[in-house]
Amino acid sequence: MTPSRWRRARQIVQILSAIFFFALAFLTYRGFESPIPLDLYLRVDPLVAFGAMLAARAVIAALLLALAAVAFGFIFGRAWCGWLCPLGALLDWISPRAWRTAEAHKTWKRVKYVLLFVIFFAALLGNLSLMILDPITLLNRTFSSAFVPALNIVIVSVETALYPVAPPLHPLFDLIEQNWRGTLLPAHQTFYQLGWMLALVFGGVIALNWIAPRFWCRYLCPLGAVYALQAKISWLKPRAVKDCSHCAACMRVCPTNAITVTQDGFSVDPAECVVCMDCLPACPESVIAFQFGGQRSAVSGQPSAISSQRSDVDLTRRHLIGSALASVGAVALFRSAPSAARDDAWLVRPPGAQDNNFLAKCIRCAECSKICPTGVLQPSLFEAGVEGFWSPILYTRLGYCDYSCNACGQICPTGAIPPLTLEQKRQSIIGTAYIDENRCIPWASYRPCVVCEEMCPIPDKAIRLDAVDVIAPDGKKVQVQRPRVIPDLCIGCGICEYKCPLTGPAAIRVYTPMPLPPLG
Amino acid sequence: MTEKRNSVVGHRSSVKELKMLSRREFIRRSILYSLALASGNALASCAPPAPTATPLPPTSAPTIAPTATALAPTAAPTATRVVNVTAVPLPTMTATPAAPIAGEPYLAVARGASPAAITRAVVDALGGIKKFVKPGNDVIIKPNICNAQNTFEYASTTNPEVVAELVKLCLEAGAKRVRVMDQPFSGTATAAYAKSGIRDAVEKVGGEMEVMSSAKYVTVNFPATARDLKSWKIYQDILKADVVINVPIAKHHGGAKLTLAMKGLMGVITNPGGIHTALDQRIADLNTVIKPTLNIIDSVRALMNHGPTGGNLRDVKMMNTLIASHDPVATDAYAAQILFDKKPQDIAYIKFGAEMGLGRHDFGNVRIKEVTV
Repeated sequence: MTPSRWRRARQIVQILSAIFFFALAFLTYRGFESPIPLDLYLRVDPLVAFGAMLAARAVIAALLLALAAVAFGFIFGRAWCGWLCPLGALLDWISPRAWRTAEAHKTWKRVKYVLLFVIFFAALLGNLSLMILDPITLLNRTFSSAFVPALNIVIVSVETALYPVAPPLHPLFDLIEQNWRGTLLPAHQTFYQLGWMLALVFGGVIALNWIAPRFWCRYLCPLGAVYALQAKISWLKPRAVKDCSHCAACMRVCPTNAITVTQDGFSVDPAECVVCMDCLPACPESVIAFQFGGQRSAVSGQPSAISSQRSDVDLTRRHLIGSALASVGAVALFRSAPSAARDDAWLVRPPGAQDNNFLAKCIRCAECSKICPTGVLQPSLFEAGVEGFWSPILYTRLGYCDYSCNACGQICPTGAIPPLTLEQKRQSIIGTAYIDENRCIPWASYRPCVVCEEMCPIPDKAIRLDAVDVIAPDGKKVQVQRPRVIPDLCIGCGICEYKCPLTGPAAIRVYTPMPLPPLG
Repeated sequence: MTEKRNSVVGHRSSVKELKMLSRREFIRRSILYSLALASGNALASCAPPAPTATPLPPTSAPTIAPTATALAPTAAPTATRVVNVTAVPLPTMTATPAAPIAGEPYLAVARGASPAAITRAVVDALGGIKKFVKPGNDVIIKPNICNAQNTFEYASTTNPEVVAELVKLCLEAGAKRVRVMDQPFSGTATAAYAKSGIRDAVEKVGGEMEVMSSAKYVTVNFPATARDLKSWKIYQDILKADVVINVPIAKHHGGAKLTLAMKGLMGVITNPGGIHTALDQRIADLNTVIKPTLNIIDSVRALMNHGPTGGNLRDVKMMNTLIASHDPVATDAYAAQILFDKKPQDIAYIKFGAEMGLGRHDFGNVRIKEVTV
């Protein structure tokens, strides 16, 4: 293959991989049954796989596919970043036209390793907070909690506006609403508490491209750091296969500034090279080639100009010790925070997750919130403390745990949400509802309302109505039906809170579970 | 010299830039404006329906006694429509209740072990499907598909055989298409359609299941006969279809006591939870605008307790009965009596419906045809 063909091949693979990633993401709206694992990109992500296994002290079978990714890294170095990573692809595509080649932040390269070490040591201590920085979880979260809800608003708005005036478009709308809704698009409009924050963070990651191309990949990405460490000893390496005229054309096109050309020679930092192969067609003399093999030089008599050992930013023992201390300090602070002493009132976890060593298993990948048909599962703010930032909780004012659904446990790649059967899920207590009698309409306003009781899916109804004669403020005797929760029956699904017709907070709210021993 | 060239180059490039900028600017602005429009619309469609004035329900029994006029089935409520200026003026409903002519029964009851056979029998008793469906008609059948958790044996959703037989009848009468839809209040429509067994049954006989799209609800002004609701959003296809057949299942309900034909129409409006603070009056008010061609109450099985969601087979009672009429007040009144042993006037929305002239809840001098298959 000619040099430009190699580059073209890389671009095509990159496009296909990004399309595949987003196709799997959209297909998640069909449900968890799929011939291809919907969480494939997480399964081949060594950072989340081994991070979760370390923190959970368990071998997670579904994530063993990541061993293949490790082998891939030892063969191809950081080719994942240049060829397959969907976030890397977006960062390649959304970037300023003219890259500045100057690099002002050479030492920043270390940041990603420090992050990786902190993640590693924290995982040893059973903490996975920084998994929010994994590129796949980052994309997943932004996709499901910011992009898709906003996209759906746009689609429905356009349909609503055009439906009465454009009958020729009705077949298109029917296609979207009858065939795509619930298969490629969420079944209903969903509303995410932190949608704007996720969008801003994602926008920030993209915006860093204006400081330096692929800023995220080069300086921050902890998954990139995993592959970078492997790349130092990987089998595939770029090298100069003949005499180089030191024109530095390759250096100017390299998006990650991995190439250094000086009077003394041409060298590549393999930890920074994402194997994008943009340098191949840039070289006027076709000097550069990616070759498998150890130290052997392709040009006889010519010492290989490449020094794979060369690295401006070799990590020192100090970095390792510093990262370890930082992890210990941070985890110690987490464990001495109020969230560790007592559960937040609104800490309502997905079914089965509450007592499942959840924070040591959850990689914050947001697969559960993507597949949740009601949108109740959302990245949290500080309900689970800073430690649980962006881990999933139920915002039961924005959705509810449907009695006929157990999808979150089926899709969770790490088992943080256990794969309960529907029957088990219906018995699983995720929270407990309490009525606010100061605001509930029949209690406080003398008017009828039975919505919570009506909606309660428990076969014997965990909410019951007491008919009571009361004297209304105008002196008239009226009969109201006051709702009352039967705590022994309530599983905390939250449909009562979701459907409560009050504005603002509901008059019936689901709190973190409070299981009590049976009466008597 | 160099300076001059530089300035020329600079000038050229700035002209070029200006041109490029203007094109880019054009594209940028068009995208911005269309996004602004779209988001404006998005916001508009997210806004809650125009608030209605009086959420206070009647706390004492209204004093209007049923009169002769109230007893007569009303045909044309649209004449006295008062248009609320704040809401969009909107189409009236195309389908109209098919009242009995020339000695046809006002209400029919069919009993028998086969749901399909009693469906056919109850329609035949009222004059046959051709009375309701004309060749080329666009038909919507509106069952009660309440959630995604129960199969039809739990009696929270309409019997699939009844719905499928109705689809068959309509197609036999020459309907252009027959759509079946409801808005379940929990679970996705797709899941609920499948779980209820209605999807399979309907598609097998050539009907279409439609997932009700949030883009299709339109604000409708209510006529002056409506006592509380001034306007609400209703699914526009229900308003536009030539024929609408309402097929609720008979169920217990904690607030309204029973859910039957009149209350079933809550499945075609947005935010049904929002009408609960004056539920009985507003159910009656909905019936001033939404007037199905035919109402058939499915009580092959009836849910006697823990409705409308259900989930216990011990709450289900086999009745093997269908009750049909063009008059939803009459079907509901009759069902309350014979299925649940309740007086129609004790069900507030039935009483309000009769008072408002939407139908009748006494059967002193009307013809009721009962068939057993």
